[in-house]
This record gives sequence, structure tokens and C-alpha cells, in this order.
Amino acid sequence: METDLSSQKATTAERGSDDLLIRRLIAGDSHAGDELVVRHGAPLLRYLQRLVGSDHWAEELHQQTWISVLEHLDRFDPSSGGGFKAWLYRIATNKANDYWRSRGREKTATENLGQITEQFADDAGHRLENQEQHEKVRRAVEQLPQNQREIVLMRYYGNLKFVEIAEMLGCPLNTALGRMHKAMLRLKKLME
Amino acid sequence: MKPGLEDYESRQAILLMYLAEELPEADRVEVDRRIAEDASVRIELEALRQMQASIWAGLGDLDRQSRPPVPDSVVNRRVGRLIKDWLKARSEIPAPIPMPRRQMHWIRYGVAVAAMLLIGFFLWPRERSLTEASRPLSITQPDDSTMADNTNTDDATAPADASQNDQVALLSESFGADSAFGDASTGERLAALTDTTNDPTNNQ
Repeated sequence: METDLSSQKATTAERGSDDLLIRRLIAGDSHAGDELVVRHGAPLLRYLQRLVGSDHWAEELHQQTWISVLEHLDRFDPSSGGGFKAWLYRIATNKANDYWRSRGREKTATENLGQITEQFADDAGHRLENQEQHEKVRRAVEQLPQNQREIVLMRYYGNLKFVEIAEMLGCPLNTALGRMHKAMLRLKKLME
Repeated sequence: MKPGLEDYESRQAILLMYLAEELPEADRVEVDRRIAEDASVRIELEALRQMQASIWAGLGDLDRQSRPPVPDSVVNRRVGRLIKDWLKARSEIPAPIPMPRRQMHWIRYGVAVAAMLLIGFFLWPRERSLTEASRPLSITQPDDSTMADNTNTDDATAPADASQNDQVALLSESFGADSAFGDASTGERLAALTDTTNDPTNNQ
């Protein structure tokens, strides 16, 4: 299975677009679904990991996102917005927002702190300076306001266009760009 | 409609779009011109480029050094299984049975026409009487000779008689006096009616 998926990954660029894969998936081709997962599964999981700051919840939300995608696949309109990828990230972001709402920011922050401590213990063999730098980046991302973090992470992990992000978040393009700029300034300051 | 350069709220917004290569060709050329002419734009662009590069590098290092919540192969396998289960469940749902198409479409049209005719048959006289009721009526007190003439049913007086009959019928209907007149002749009915309408003591 893993070998199959790896070989699929190597030829992803040559294969049809996401829309074509979705049409094949709806028609009953499970390989098309596998290919979609290879294309988007891992970056989406990382996106959720950085967005919610919890490995456990990232995994849970990742699963929920794909279930939601499958449930609504028949109603997906490829011509709207940025196509499948933008739709996938929108669902994931909505799931993350539901998560924030249901658990509360404060509770999660406490949980994250516990995880960070665990991470330190797990990675005790790694070089300290690297770890410190990574921790700085992680903390910097986590300290961003959620609306800025979403945009930075969507750009980085989803490689989505600003126009698509703005449409996805339901805000004007200028607002999305303004948030991105503020996030970059803030990250730069926090990472120094 | 895509925004033009003048629609962006700040220079940073334009430069972010420029860096992301999302500007239309004409706008891109214009930004290139500004970069060439204005040193401050050039410096700002370079600062943004470096800032973005360091953030992306930081995130890249973080991903390389920290483990994902689950390995990629596990992610692929898990979601792949989800998809297979979903496809299996879909294939088990029986396809909707198409309703047999009715062959006798002409019956529908025939029934529709008959229904329209029936409706027309019952509604048209009512509509007509309402239209006539809304027309202003001029009732003049007929003298006895005219009354006498009108009781005749010869051809010459027939149209006038018919018109009066209509008026009587309408007025009778309006005053609810139909039953009171019984089978009286037109003249008698009109006389009785005008007596009724002219009588100041009559409450109706």
C-alpha cells in the first residue's frame, strides 16, 4: 500500500487535476481518492497541527475533515472559488474553528503547554539550539491571532492564493493582505 | 472583476500580491516600473521578500525537525480506508427506481382543456353579472303607458324589455328581493321595485 502511494505521489504532477480525480472518485474509483489524499493529506494535517497546536486534535480534525469532504462531495462545485484544495482547507478551517469554540482558547493553551513540555522530553537527544529555534517558531505561530495564523498557514501549507484565501474566509482581499502583513511583522519579531 | 492597483489599500498589499505572483500582467508591469524608478519601493519589496523567506524557512525547519501527528503513510492509509468504506456504502445504496413514464400525455391535455371549459362555463356568467353590476344604472320612473307597452312581448319592444329584465334581475339580486316578486311580469316587478326603493319608510 505504501509503495503504491509513493509511486502515485511521484507522478501526481502528471496526473489530472483535482477536479478530474473527484469525478473519478464519485464514479467509484478508489485510486482517485488515494491520489487526492496523497496530494493533500499530509500538508493538511500539518496545517491543522499548527493551527490548533495539538497533535491529537489535529489528527482528529483531519479525520473529520475528510469525512465531511466525502459526505458533501456530491454537492462540491469545482467551478466555485479555488477548486478542491480551497474547499478542503475551508472545511478544515471550519472544523478548527468549531474546535476553538467548543473547547475554549484558554483550555487549549494549557494543553499545548503540556504537549510542548512532552516534546522537550521526547527530543532530549536533539541539539539544544535547534530545538530552541524550532520552539521559538512554534510559539511564534501559536501566539499569532487566529485570523492571522490561518492566512499564514494556508499560504504555507495549502499554497493557496490570497484571492482564494480571502474568498474562503469571507473577507475582502485587502483585509486578507493586511492580516498577512501584520502576521509577517509579528512572526519576524517573535522569531528573532 | 479583479482589482486594479488603485484598489489596494496599501503599498504592502500590492507588494505581497506581486511577491505571490498574483497580479495581472498589466499591474505587474506597472509594479516593475515603480520598483525600477522608486528606491523606497525596492527596499520595501526586498524587506518583505526576506521576511517571507525567513518565515517559510522557519516553518520548513520546524516541520522537518518535529514529527507530524501521525506519519504520512498512516494518514494516507487511514483516509484511504475511509474513502473505500464510503465508496462501499455508496454502492450499497439502491439506485432510485425510475418512475414509469406515462404514455398517454394527450389525456392530460384533454383533461386540462375540459377543466378550463368547465371553469369558464361556471365563472363567465358570474363574471358578466359582476361587470354589469359595476356599471352605473339609470333608473327612471316609467310611466303607465310604457309599463303597459312593456308587458307586451312583441318584437319591437323585445330589446328594451330584455334590458329592463336584466336591470330588474340585478337590482333584485342586490336588494335580495327575488323571492318577494315571485313570477310577476317585468312591469309589475319593476313597479314593485321602484315602489320599494322610493319608499322612504323602507329600511332596506
